[in-house]
Amino acid sequence: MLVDRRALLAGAGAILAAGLGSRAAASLATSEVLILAPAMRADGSFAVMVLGERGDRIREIALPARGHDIAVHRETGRAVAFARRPGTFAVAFDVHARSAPEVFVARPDRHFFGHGAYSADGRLLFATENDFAAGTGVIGIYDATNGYARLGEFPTRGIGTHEAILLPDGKTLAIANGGIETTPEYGREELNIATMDPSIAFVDLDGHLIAQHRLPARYHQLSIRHMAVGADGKIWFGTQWAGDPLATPSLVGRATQESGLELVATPETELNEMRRYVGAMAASRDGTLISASAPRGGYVVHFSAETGRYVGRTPIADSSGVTGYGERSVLASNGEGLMAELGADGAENLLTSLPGVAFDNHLRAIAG
Amino acid sequence: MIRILLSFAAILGLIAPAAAQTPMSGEGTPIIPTATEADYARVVEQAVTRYMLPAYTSLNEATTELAASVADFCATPEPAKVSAVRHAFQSTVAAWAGVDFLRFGPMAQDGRYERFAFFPDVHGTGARQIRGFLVSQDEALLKPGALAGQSVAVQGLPALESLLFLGRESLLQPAPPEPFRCALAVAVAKNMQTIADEALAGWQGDKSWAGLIENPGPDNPVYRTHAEAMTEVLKAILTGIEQVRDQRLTAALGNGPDDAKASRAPYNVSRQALFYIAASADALQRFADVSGILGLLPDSQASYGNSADFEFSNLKGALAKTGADMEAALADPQLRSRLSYAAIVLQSLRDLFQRHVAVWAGLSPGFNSMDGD
Repeated sequence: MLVDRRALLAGAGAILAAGLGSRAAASLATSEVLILAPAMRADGSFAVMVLGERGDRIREIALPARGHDIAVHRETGRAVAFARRPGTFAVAFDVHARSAPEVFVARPDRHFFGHGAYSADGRLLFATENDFAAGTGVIGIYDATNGYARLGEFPTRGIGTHEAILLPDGKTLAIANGGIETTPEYGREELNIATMDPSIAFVDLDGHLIAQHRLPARYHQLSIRHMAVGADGKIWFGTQWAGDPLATPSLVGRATQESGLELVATPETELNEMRRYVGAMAASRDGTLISASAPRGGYVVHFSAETGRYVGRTPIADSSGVTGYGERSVLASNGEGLMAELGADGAENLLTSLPGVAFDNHLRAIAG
Repeated sequence: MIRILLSFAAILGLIAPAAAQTPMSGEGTPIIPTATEADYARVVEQAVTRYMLPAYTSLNEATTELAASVADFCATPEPAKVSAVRHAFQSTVAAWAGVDFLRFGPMAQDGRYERFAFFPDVHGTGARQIRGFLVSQDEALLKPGALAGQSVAVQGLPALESLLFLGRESLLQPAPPEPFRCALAVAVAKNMQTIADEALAGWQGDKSWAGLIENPGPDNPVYRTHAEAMTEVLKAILTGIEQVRDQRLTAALGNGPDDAKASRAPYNVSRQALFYIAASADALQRFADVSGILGLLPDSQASYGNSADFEFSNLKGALAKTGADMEAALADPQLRSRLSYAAIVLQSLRDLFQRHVAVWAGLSPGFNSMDGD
């Protein structure tokens, strides 16, 4: 994988990294991993920061306002940064800086929820969007080969849709319907806490529903937001509790298309200290380590995909971004400009600390 | 890929809450907060005793008066009693503005917040269900506690507002009230009183939210430190400012004159929308004042306190000159511009508290932990 990228770089060096300084171009050419992190910069403006494996700053792609997550397609180098909800912009860029970024916007009667995924061949982009007049989620379909022209949409089968991921079969999207309705007329006000109905829907790429699963009714205020796939193909999901502030439901669970959803037990103290809120989910590259960021508690909490159990946690204030990094490690970022590689055994490797920079909710790392 | 593995203990200092570097202000001066855990404890205690307890007591008194006045009016409807109901309704709107930015505590339990005031009701659930109730005249709805099992949209202030003020059949008009509608209003007002009772009780005593927020520690399920409890107080101010601006004022102002719509503001049916927004501004200023949050800043930064006073008085000044009726204010360019100005001042206030007060007080509301995504 890493060798492939070097070969590609050697062959295409001339057109690579147009417009970058020589040091940034060198970093871009030699880094085995590129880190893509939406952030607020010291001057209060927003950008996607592109960092090398040593945490070196390679370039920044300006965003018109606060971003959220980035969809990435490794083979084509395509990436799209989405606006934080209820934002309406998306900024498409080439990971290797071979072309200028381009901005596209949601339909006037939709806004982005902040997440999306590419098809296996990288030609289509699926974005989670709010049909706010109807109050339901949709997946907007965009043509990545044609300026991200919007080709159509299909329903997510839920309200307050958040992350959607393409499963390893390349044919199925798993869609987290958080269950919380919002409408841009009222900003981020939550409209239906009493009647929330979160779910994970499995659909094919034409939008046909394959399966849809819910937690038991007593957890209907557990908003299912983020997902990562473990080594055995099980989906690990992270939730945010909108119910009684003194209740301590498990916040992380596992899902399969066939058997539905189950919550994973977390020790009581550690669970309570997650403060009822998971901000992002990630799996290490080999899929054995599953990590959930808990920004309100100030931790990244780790689980084993092999045993299905809690294994430990790393204290990181205002943690949030977490993404697969090494074979058995994840990369975590926080709102105070820190980025660190974490292992389940408590191993930590600080990549960078950027005073004044606030890394946003999600980040992605892409191997060459 | 992990090349240099530092030991867990060694790196802890780098990524634990105590940040690795001293934050800098916009002017490039290092920010060195002086507030201690004891200072946070004092401000939280002041917020509870000087604000939360009196504010929830006010809500309790207002809803008690409201339930009594509606019941009295419906028992023997006389035109003279209309003003008592109007007065009690307005007091309840003001008392609600005094607590509805406190999105934690007993009001956040058992769905009390939504049940007391479900807003915005973008799908018109409350109006639709109440129409259904009025058609079915189902007496079972009037039994004590029965409404608590119904949709949150029919249980609280907006539902009562529509029964009292909305349409040809509204109760507070010269024609004699329709008995079932009146009885339903009594049930809604009683339900609100029950919720307000529970909220007040939840703040009183050792095992209450006052106990939780004033006694942080490792076994406290919500607050580990006084700084965390203090952050809850700060977040309430930030939430309150954002709520008034985005969900009340800007919602009504829309994207421009043609898009403005008074009905998007709460309590517009009773013509209380501007009264409610002014009451919210007043409540936020009082909360900031009596808690003493600005006293957490180092002496060298005391001018931020003056800035807050200045902005709050700008806000209240603008809101005082918009008339009483939201619809009329939105239709009049001069009055509408005052509302737009109020929205701008609210933004300045939010920046002031988030970017200056928070950091100089040594508090970190969190870029991502406040994010809600």
